[in-house]
Amino acid sequence: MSEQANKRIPVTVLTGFLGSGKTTLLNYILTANHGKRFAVIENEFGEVGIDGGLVINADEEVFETNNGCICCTVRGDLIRILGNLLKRRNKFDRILIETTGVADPGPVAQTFFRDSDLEESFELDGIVTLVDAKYFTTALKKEEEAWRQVAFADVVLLNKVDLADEAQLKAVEKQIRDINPITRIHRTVRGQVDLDQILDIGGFNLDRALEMDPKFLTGETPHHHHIGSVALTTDKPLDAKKLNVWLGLLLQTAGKDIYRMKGIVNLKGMKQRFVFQGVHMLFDGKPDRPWGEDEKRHTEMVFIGRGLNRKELQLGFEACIDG
Amino acid sequence: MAEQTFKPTAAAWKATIEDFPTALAWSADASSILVGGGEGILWQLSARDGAIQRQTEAHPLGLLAMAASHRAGLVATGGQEKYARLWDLATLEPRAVLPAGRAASVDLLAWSPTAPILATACGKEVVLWDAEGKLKVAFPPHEFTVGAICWSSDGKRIATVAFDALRIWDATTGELLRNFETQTSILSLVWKPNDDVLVGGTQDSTMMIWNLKAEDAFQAGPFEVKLRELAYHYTGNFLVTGGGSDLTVWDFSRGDMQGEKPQYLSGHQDLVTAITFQRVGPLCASGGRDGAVYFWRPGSVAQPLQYIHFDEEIAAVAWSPRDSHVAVGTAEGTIALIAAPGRR
Repeated sequence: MSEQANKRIPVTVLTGFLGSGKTTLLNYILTANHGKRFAVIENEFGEVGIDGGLVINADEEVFETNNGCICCTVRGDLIRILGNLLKRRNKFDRILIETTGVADPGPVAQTFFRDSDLEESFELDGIVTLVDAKYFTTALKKEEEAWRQVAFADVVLLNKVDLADEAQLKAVEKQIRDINPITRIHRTVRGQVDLDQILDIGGFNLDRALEMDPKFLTGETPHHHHIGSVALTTDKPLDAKKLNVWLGLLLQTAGKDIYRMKGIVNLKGMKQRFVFQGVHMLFDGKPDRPWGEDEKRHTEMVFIGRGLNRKELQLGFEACIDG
Repeated sequence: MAEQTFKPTAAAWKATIEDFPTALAWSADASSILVGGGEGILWQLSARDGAIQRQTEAHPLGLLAMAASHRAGLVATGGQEKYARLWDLATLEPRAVLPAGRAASVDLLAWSPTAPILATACGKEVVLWDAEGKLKVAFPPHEFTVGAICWSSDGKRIATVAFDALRIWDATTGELLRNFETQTSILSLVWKPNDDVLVGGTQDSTMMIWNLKAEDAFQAGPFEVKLRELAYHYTGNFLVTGGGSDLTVWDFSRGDMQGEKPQYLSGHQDLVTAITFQRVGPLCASGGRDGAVYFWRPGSVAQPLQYIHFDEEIAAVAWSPRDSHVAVGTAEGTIALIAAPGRR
């Protein structure tokens, strides 16, 4: 088998509310002179056709695998389309998936971890969410999916910034940070962004799991029934067994409400950092690089989800502290 | 692994099409081999030496399915662009364009075993067409995308599977005859030759068996991976499945396979990608990711009879009309002809 055939194909998911500029961004990506070859999976109701490129329409279909487990929902349409694309893999280097404005990013992300064929051949690189700078606040009031799309995002493109003033932009950026403190935000006009900012971002790559700015780890307490984040930090080492039990129980009981989680952990007796990330009940963790001699050993975890109970999370977390 | 005592064989010829062979089919007189290419090209190769005789751009956005009907003298192809197309099997002249659905690609095609009638599945829609391309029956749209379709041996019924159910339809009236609810997505489907059992491979790497006489269903597995490869011996006595690097032989000689211990056929060093039985004969050919094609006699001999190795994953395998040869297509576009054990 050729080297190309063995390499996993990176996938970028574009989300964003209707009118946020997803199709404009797609057109920009497909026509910009960057030397990359894309296959695009476009939602069925794409308002504007895409010029050039390998473009396939999807018909969003969500179903549960594993005999009906709600946290194992996947996108059947993506499994089929991506399976067919493997037969033409010499025609493209990467995949872009445009979701509908109201699509839930959860099943899209889970598909790449729950489907054995896709997990072997594709690598979810990141979720990029477009936000309309002027109307995002209104969308938050009306549509839950606007919250969820930001909650899942590795990168938020704050688009149409030319239509909003600086005070509006700052306010929207704060709203985004309150929902998801570890996302990266880039301001754009007509979706024009340096592609390095949205491709190869490794959002689901453990090696880059916690490349986040600690100053955002304040962990705003989410409002009841609302989507937000909880950040947990400590300089004391954690007990590996206790942490394992707590996270296992947490994901079993609250996994459906935890959209994304990432963490660097200081485990007692371990010379390396332990890093983890997850989507709903899917959890991936491993020892990372060794702690530096002069490096301050500490633990940082961020949970993003709906109705997270900060107090309970804090108590569970503190119970994992060694001693 | 046990020492291999069986003999390697050589291909009668090899050709290259620089495309992924989605499906292979033979002309009725075995003079040519049809190859449906993933890029959308329909190829016709001479079965004598592999020379490309004809090629035509069948589907502008890629070809996803192909099926030939010797009775109708046609080959049907299905494409990403929502159309199925009929072509003359001998000349590849276009015969009809079938608007098979509204919102998806044409992933599935199946000719009736008893009449020149084609079934197409495009997303949630299943439609029957005659050889002129005229719509005969449009079944009510499914709630979920159809994962597989299969005709009964008498051509009177057609079975469809989607995430929510296995359904059996009257192919003449379009009436729903049977409905078996499921809780998993079914990816493949085969009807036992006497039509009393249907078997499907699932997204959850298991096998569903529906016993139509007993009106019950049960599940077997799990397999190593999702189960897509299913092939019945022409008598219905044996079902051979993939879903891993071994082939599994299920004994149906006493009705269904409940309580029977399966036989495992080991040889492939990686996942099996294709399994096909002779039309009227005991031999089965399998292809794998390891680039090997093995010939087996399931139910009697656990060792392969013969094998050949290619450098690339095997994508498709098809027996010739008289069961004397198999055409093989690899993922890198190599097409080859291999004689069955005991044949030249």
